[in-house]
Amino acid sequence: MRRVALFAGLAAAAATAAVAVDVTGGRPEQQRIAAGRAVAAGAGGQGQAGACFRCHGFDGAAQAAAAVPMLAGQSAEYMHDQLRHYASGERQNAIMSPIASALTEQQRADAAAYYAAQRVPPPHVERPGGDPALIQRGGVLSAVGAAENGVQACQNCHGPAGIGMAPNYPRLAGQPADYIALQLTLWKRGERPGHAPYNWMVNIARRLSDEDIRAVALYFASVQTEEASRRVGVLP
Amino acid sequence: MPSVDVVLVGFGWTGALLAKELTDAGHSVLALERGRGRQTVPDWQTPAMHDELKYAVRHGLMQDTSKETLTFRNFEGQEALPMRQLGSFLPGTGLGGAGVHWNGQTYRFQESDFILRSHLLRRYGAGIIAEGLTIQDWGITYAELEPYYDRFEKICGIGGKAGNLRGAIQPGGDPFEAPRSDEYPNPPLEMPHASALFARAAANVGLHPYPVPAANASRPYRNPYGCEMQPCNFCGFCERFGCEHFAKASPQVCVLPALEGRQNFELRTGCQVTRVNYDRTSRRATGVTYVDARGREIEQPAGMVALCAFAFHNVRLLLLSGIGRPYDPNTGEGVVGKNYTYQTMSGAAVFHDASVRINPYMGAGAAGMVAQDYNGENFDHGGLGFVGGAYIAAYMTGGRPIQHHPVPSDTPRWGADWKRAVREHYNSTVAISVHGSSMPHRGNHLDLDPTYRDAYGNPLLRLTFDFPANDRLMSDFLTDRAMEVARAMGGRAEASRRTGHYSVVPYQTTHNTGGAIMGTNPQESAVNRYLQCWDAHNVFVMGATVFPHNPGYNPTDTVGALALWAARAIRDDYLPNPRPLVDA
Repeated sequence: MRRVALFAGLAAAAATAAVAVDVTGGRPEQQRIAAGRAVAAGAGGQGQAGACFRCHGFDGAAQAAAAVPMLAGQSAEYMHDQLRHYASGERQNAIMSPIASALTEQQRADAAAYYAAQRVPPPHVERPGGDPALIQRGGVLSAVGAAENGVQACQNCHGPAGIGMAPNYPRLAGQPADYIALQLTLWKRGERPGHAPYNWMVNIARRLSDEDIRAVALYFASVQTEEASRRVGVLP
Repeated sequence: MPSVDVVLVGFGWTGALLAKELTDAGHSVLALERGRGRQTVPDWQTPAMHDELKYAVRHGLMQDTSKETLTFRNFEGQEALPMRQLGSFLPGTGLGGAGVHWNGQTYRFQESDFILRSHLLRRYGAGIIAEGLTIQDWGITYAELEPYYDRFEKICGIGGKAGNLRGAIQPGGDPFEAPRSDEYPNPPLEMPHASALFARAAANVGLHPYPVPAANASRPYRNPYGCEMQPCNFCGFCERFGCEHFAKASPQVCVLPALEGRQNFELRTGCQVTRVNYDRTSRRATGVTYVDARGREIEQPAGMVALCAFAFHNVRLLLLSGIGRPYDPNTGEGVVGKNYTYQTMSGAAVFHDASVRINPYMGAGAAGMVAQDYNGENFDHGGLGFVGGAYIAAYMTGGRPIQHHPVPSDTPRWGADWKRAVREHYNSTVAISVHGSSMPHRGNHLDLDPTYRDAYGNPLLRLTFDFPANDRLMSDFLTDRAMEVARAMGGRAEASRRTGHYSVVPYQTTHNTGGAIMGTNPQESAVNRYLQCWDAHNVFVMGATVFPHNPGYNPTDTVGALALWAARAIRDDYLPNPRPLVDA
């Protein structure tokens, strides 16, 4: 409860929207987005073989059937971090690891900025099918977690209904159910590393049953969010 | 109402600890909490919990001043007026008490603090304690309390780095700290950028910065009660908020899961205790009277009463119940209401240019670096004209949008220029806290207000307080030291000094202490070393109420340690054979 009244008297009015833009870094420059698009088109070290668009498209839309995540509107910092982790081997993926290692640091940052700037698919995308009771259970886990198992609510970090909390916490809303379920399973099995010593996701995934994982995955896949919730991230 | 072995008035940290330790031993415990029941789920979940307007500005978790408040004046002779809005301090209400909305900064006091009067006289001679300062020994030593500090820190899952393990100075910790029997149970939190910049500059000017001991869990943790904490995610909503992550130590996270469901424990919320029923003939309490949520007045018999409410309320209950002689500032006699102390806060701000990006929104209540070089007796006070000190720290508790607007003092208070300054400085300003001690003064005290009453018809507590000259001198000296660090950080440094009379309007801290102090004899103190009332051996008083002075540290670690120390005495010595545990 320590809080020096250093700025007492100046603490009465609300922050302006302009401040919020400054804090989150504003939209990335067009030049950088163009450079990122070139990487997406195959300007990386692997050329066409490693072109992002071959799986992610130029719009960064999800490919649900192939468990390819939605990159559009994702936090640029988060994606940049993940590309670094793929490159360093900290996060392992047979497809992404060699591609990310073949990119320069600048190319990884540019590609992240490019996909972050893409529009989130409009909300008329067909909702995935699934057991309504299971989706309901996933929604409960998202909103309040499972206190009996020490599982925090997903949205306490990932934002209301999983819209993401840039820069650190990725967007989950609209991600393919198979992609989310796979990541939770990897953490649960210890195949995707956590962030020591906190180990947030490893700790949580280990406390989730396989059915819990299916439930949250299905729930987030079914969330439709408006364009207004898009985050552009804080890359300079 | 059937009698219980022990009735607890208030259910925050101390109530929870007593309930756990005493039910462990098979005693029946009833806790009476004036506020609502609440728990991590659903009460503290986002996005509702991150409503800064509701909780930080409008004090959603705090005492309702329309039902109960206190009156305030700077000195005798003034007419005290009721605080109709909270400001300088924020007493909590509801299950878990202030243990729900605290930051989690968890410091031990110094060895000298517990024997302060003897220590100062021995080290400096008789002239060191200024006229009017009623500094006393506590009646307990650091060595006696150490195991209970250790226990409380393990219950809270404190993350930190020891500086002194059984006498051996450890790199990376506080080289000034008293010997610890064990390392902290968890590693320190990661350092926010602002705190790292501060630490580098502090080391450059010769101070010894180390990570603040934090009750914000730095990893998944199971405490000695078997309760689980989950790791903090640096959301920046600790102070004035409940934690949605099971990450900040609280009675709900660290004690209640091990207590709920016990046959010999009962919790009644919405119950405002108005009296400890005191039999003057036998000098014993017979129980308490409370008003329940339906407005019914109920008498609850009990073998023993523990006052576990906030400092103000414990003192008021003693005064309303006629337990202990009220303090008279004119004669210096009497004990209840004596030695009210606070905290002498000041600070500095460093305005960097925009290239220094500190991202203040990533924070935790106790994330920061701190230096103790000028706290307590860590430095020589010879020739300085004051006693006490402060820690100098840079926390990053969370740059929330409504209340975090660091701007230089020559900025207009509103309008386009103010907005421009906020944009310029929000992400590049480092605040340095100077968290100063508060020495007791003969005139600073608590008593019952002669005019104003609460919603239950009882007199309000009256607070008479101003900063003693000793503390002003201390604060000036310490703010100068903080400014040396601020200047060494580069950027534009500005001090925020402690000037003028104490005001209850701007927030300073909720470290209100004293009023029913512990000590070595019944002439000078209200409770003995086991926190047992000298005048009623079956009434115990918990919390910072019992501090004879308030050192330059946050109080919670000592509050918790003293509660566990008292709990052991009550469980093993008192309840098997009820009697005064110290001869008067």
